[in-house]
Amino acid sequence: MSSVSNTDSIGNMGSINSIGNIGNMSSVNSAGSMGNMSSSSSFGGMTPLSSLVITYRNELIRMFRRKKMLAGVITAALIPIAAVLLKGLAIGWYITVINSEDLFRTALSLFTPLLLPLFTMILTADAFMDEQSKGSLRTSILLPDVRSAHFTAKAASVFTGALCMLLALWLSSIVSGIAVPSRGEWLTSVAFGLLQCLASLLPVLIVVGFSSLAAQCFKSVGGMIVVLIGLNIILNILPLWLGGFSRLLPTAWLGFGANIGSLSANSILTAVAAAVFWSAVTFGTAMLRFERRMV
Amino acid sequence: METVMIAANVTKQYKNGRGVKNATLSLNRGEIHVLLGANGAGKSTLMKMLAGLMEPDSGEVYYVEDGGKSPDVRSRLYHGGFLVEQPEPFGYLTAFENLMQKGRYYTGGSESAEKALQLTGLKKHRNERAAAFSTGMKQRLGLAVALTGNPEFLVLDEPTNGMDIEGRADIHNLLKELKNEGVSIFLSTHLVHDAESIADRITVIHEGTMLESGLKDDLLKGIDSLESWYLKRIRENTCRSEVAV
Repeated sequence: MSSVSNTDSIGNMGSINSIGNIGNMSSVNSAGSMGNMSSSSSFGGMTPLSSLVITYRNELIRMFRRKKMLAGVITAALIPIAAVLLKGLAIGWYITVINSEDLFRTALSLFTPLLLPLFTMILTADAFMDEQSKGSLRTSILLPDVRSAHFTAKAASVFTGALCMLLALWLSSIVSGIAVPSRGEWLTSVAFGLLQCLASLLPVLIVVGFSSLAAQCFKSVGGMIVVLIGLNIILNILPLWLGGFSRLLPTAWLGFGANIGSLSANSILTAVAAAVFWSAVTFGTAMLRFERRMV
Repeated sequence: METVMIAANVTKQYKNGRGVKNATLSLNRGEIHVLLGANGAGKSTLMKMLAGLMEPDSGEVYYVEDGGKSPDVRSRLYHGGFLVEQPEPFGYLTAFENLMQKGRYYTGGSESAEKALQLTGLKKHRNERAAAFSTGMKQRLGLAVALTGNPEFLVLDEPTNGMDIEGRADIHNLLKELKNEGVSIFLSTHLVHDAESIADRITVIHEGTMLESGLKDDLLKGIDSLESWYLKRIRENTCRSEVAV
């Protein structure tokens, strides 16, 4: 077009050198236009770690504003209270035959293998899939941090959510009296209850890992949860054939925390090894998929 | 003229054959560069690559930092403000809390967020949840998020999408003010009038290929209007494609 003789026509250009606007630079340094750039290399004094802390804080704020997180904490807090009420009403032989000290372990056994993994899966699905379907995942990824940091912050916030649920259960157990023995060392018993709760986080690590991976592979939350529950059922049947190797399955330690008092050092080490292995595999794969994900 | 960001020979092809082919462009400091193209021309794909949301199949996007090129996405996101496609804020957070999601990364981020609310006309909706916002308000909020942290440059994908005439005029005035303050702006639009109103430089993209790029004043020399020039240019290219097929 003759009338626009001064424009940089780029219809058939093959390389950057053909654009007048960018000149003949082989590197940016050779372009005179960029020689006097004001220094802006710093991130306001922020290191990748401090940046990650902010990303994690942002994720936590978002997670605690979701009703599902609140529902998880309330459910966890209600379980010990419900156990006390049921015991008081003597409903069911199971509740009536156990003593007060065992009631806390029972509450933990009810919560950690079933409800805690379910809430953890839901929180993970919210952090990844719900944000993707609503479009806010793009908003979150455009915050000034790298994708791996966003992934780590999301997984860590879900893990923190699970910790909060377990702490709610523990505190509620103390308030309702089921974690406090009628006789003996009060402090030791309460501290052991806390240890049981914290130990319950070990299988949560595996659950968050598998959920994070599934969240990168599925499009619907329902589909992801159904497949994970199906996988859980299969992994609970497999030990019938696997014998001793079944201890390495990801679901083998879901009730780990409640039973920690009766486990040998060998069993605890095996549980830790299984958690490290499965979380490394699942988190690693999930992070790679998240890095390449089109948003 | 100083260059802020460069996309060099960037290509991204989707399975259906669409995408962006061999696109090269730069954003100069203190300039409003408009990427003009019809729907489906490849504008959003290019914007996503500029924002680091999508990796190009070939080519490179980098931010110019201390006289050298920095392909670091974190650096680009820290120094820039991005609005890509229809912005979707976190519905359960208030407008201010949405802005603080970005503001926390910056010293004085809170003041910057307040200023962004003021500039985009959302000050009175500061404490309202974003879920209740209309499309136009969400667009303003997306722009406010991009402005938080006093960015050196902005990459805005159809920033006036879903806005009424008054809203569009407000945003155009805001972009001109920002330009006067030294902010470099790269924005895409399918509206020729938008381009004519605010652009310093215009690049035309059609079916994933960049057809023309130049200063608006140069493009407008000897022609009736940008619209007629644009339509002619597009039609010429469409005929050429058909002949080639």
